[in-house]
Amino acid sequence: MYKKTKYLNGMLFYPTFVVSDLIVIFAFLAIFCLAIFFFPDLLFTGDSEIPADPFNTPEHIKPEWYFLAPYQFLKLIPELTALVVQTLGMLALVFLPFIDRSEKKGLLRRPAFTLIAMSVLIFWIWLTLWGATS
Amino acid sequence: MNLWLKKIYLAVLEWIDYRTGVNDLIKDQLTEYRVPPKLNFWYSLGGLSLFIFGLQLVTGVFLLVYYVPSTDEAFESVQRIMVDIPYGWMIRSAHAAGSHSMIFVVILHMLSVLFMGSYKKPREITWLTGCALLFLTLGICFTGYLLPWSQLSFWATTVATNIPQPIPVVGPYIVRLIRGGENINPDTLNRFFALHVVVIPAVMLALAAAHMYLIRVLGISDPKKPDTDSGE
Repeated sequence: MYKKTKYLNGMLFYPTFVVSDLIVIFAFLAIFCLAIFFFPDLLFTGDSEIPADPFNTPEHIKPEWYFLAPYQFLKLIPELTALVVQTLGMLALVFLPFIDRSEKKGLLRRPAFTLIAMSVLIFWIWLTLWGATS
Repeated sequence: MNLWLKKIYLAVLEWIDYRTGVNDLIKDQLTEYRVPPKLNFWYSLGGLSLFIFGLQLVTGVFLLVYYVPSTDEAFESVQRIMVDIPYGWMIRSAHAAGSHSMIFVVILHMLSVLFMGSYKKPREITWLTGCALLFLTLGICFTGYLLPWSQLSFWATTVATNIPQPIPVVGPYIVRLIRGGENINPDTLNRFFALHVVVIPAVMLALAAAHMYLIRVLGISDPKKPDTDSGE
């Protein structure tokens, strides 16, 4: 079995790392509470306040932000091609450890990977923004 | 008096430790467990995802108390939660905001692992369980979206479940399988409800446990140096 590094001079998980974890959690909770208590309109809008009616299609249907990119991608190129490309992309992401087998880890030590990953990420963000504004 | 209480307290602790070995567990997993020095913000995102997942479980159980999973009553029961039930609006808002933030944090967590190269040998299985958790997170948001049975839920789900349609031969069957019929119908609501409150959370709990077990067994990845078989 793989022998793990023991980090004999490392920081203690408890209390040091647990406290830094808690700081992040409380920072998150601050933003979270701000959204719930001061901007409730952001969460539930328009069509979510009307009961479902199978015989009345709303004019503008748009998915949530996290599905916007794949949704826009389906509009960009023929649907079947888009589905195939996205499935292959997902599979590449899932099996990434078996495709990218180099041992180098840092961002700058593997420029080719960084370039590809950054391009895909920027493309994804661009699709999301395009979907949000269209 | 205080000394007497302390004696009882220590005796109880010793009684429990003798029967469970909990002291060694605390030592190994908390007070004597060391991680790489200088772990930054990015290393807290996994813990934050787990925290939000816990938050979703708690708010979800509260919603489950008043929610009625039937096409006739779902929308009314959600309106009741928002208007009549004390603090119902707060619980539902938290559950909705929690779903958005969970996806956001899980994606950030994945990106940090991606760019720091932490998925590399020997952490391939950790990455696979992480990917499964990401897809299940998206799945649990997707199934939960239909439950309020509003215009938004109904039509968003109609459009989304139509996506496999153009796949040759099996496409229409996949759509039927997801919907449990030709169109979105009462059975769709029931199966999405079962997936959302039982199946997906249970699988996610198991996968999260496996994910964390692997992190504990393999140690936290140090981006500064590649892993070797020698250890230190």
